[in-house]
Amino acid sequence: MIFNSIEFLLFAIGFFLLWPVMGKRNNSRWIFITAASFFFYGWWDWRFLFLIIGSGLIDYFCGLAITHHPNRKRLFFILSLVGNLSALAVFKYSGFIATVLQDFFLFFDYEVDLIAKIPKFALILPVGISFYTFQSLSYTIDVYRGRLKPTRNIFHFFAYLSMFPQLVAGPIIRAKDFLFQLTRYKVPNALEKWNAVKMIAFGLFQKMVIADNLSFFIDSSFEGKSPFDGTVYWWVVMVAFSFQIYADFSGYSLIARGLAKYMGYHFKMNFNHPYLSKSLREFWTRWHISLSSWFRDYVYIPLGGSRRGLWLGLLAMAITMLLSGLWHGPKYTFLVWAGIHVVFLAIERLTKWTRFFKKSSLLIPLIFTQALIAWIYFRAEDMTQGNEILAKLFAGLPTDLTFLDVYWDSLFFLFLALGIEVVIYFRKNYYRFAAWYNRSGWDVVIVTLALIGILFLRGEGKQFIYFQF
Amino acid sequence: MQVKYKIAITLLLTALLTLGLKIRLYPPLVNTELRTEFWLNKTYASADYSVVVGGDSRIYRGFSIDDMEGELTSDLNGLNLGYSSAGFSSSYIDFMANHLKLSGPRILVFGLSPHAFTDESISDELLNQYRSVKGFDRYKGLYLSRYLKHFAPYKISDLPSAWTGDYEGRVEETFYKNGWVASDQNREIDSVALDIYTNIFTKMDVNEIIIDRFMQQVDSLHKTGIAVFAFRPPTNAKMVALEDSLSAYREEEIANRFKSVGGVWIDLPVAEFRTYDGSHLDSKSARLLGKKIGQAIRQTLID
Repeated sequence: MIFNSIEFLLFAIGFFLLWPVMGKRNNSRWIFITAASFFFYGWWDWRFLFLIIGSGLIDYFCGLAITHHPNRKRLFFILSLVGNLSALAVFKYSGFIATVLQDFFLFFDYEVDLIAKIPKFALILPVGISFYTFQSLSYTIDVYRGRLKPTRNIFHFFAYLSMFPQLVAGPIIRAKDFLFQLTRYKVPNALEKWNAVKMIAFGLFQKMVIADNLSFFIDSSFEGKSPFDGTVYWWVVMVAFSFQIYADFSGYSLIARGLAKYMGYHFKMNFNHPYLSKSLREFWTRWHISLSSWFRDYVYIPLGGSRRGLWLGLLAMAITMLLSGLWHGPKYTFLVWAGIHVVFLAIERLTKWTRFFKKSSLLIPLIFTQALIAWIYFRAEDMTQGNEILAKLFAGLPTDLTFLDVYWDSLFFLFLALGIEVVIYFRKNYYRFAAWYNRSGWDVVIVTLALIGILFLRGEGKQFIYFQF
Repeated sequence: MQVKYKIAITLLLTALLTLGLKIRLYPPLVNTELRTEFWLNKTYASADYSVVVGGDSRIYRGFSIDDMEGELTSDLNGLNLGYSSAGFSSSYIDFMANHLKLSGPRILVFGLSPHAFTDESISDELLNQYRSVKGFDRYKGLYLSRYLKHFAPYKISDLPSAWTGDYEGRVEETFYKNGWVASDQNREIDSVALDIYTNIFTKMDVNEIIIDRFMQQVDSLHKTGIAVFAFRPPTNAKMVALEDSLSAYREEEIANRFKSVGGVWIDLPVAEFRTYDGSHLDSKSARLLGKKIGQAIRQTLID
């Protein structure tokens, strides 16, 4: 079930009608959230519910065992790690591991077909597996570190793990931030309700109007169905993709946050206008914040972070980034995407070149360009295509500009997305503009326009890009 | 403005604006909900037809079933099972044959365009996309689209025309339950289609293996008592020249092979047809094509 569908609308109406009845008492609230979330997830493929249940049971019992058997807490922690990472390895990485091994053997002229030996069920990627596995893992890690007291109630745990707004594409919610929220029933006040409506409307607008309208132009370019080519053309394609993936993912996160807020809960911000960043380091504090902070807290800092000197710090950053690349998918292209970020981040940290610009707004397009170059490999079907597009961006090839006319129905929404970011830049940087905006009730007009846009200008419905992760 | 009234005011404003726009704007030229209903109706049509016509977009846009039926006896009905970029894979041919009635005349008609024999086309992406639609999505497409069509979105470039009602220069589509999309445009713009096909056929040729398999399957179908007909879908003269020079499609050879496995090849007077975009027939020509094929079937099987 996706947020921008009729079935979800019916589901949400049913859920929020029953919520005041079911939400008041702890047990009924947790059971209700769990049952509704399982229904929401099972709509795709109920068989994969067993994976969430299995993964959750391991972590629930390991969490209790870690507290009750402090002498063996390491054993239970490892059990939880192995359980979760094995599920990821089987369902997400078995094909990739087989390919890497095949390539390795082929290097020594030994040909094997390992992919054919993988059971078919393992080649199906359960929706959102990376999100809920990481969420579940954060629970046992925090219990192991003594930062979280495990819950005794299994429905309390599953309500946290399966909470439908964020189950399949985040934000990744930490148990220490959310378990205690689930112990109360809070009716949102008028301001919270209005903020929830704004988030849902803006999220749907980002997804259904911006991202979905851009997809035709981008898909036809990457699938070789477009008759156009050339340097300018591919720059426009890549700018469009940068905004498509942002609008798609940020849109999902906003809707998830809005739904949670309407239930009386708070999810932290997952995107904070990353393309307005003035350094790549800042970009990573604004893009997919829940994942970046997960990797920071559970990988980068345990590896020593920046406390162990410049070079070890760079190594920790490189390992963290590459793991983050692999988290996105079992493909070489994701590793290259992460590798490009490693290179740019290392250059930034070593040369501190952004200081020369003294926080000038000129940094915004420069940082955006770095992110854009990395996005090539994120979107490319394979390395060859990625390399070709990268070469075209800098080859100075002529472009037939009639593509602007042919793809105007898509490109209009790129200009709209750019325009929105410019307005947000002014709101963030010019106090008078922000004060005028906040005073004059513009938000009502803007939300109305967003809803009208969704009704009249939405693109062809596509699944959220991040579901595949 | 007090926060507690904002949701109500927003909803009221949205409702009023929606109503105003629905009254003021002409319906969108391309109704995505109607389109979904059309494809799902076609894909999940019952096995209840005497004549099933298959091929790519030159068939689903360029072949009028009603006009073919007009040339046949009243007990023969037809279904246009053309899909965008369809290729003659064995599963697609089986899919066509499975829509035939079990009794009475059983006729398959193939529109053999060069693209339908390429590696790209035989994945039958669109067909498989709709065949994989399951559960509530299928129900929604088949039974709710008729209501959802009132909320079909507009393309941004259509808004000025939707305001004035003047859709000149745009492709107008009318969807028929029997699988045909009547398509028209005031003036023929063929440069985009020619560019696209140049791009396709500089990358790939017609694949002889696909043709071999197609012929073998036609042979088997013919032996089971199914009458098989084929023709090259008419298109713009420049497109024919382009495909003949770039795609390695040899019409005469294909026609002879088709005849040798028991099929009936239908030659068409290409000059009588007109495309609206350099590739697909306009509705008038699509009606003419339906009529010509109906006549050929009648002459072969009935007269």
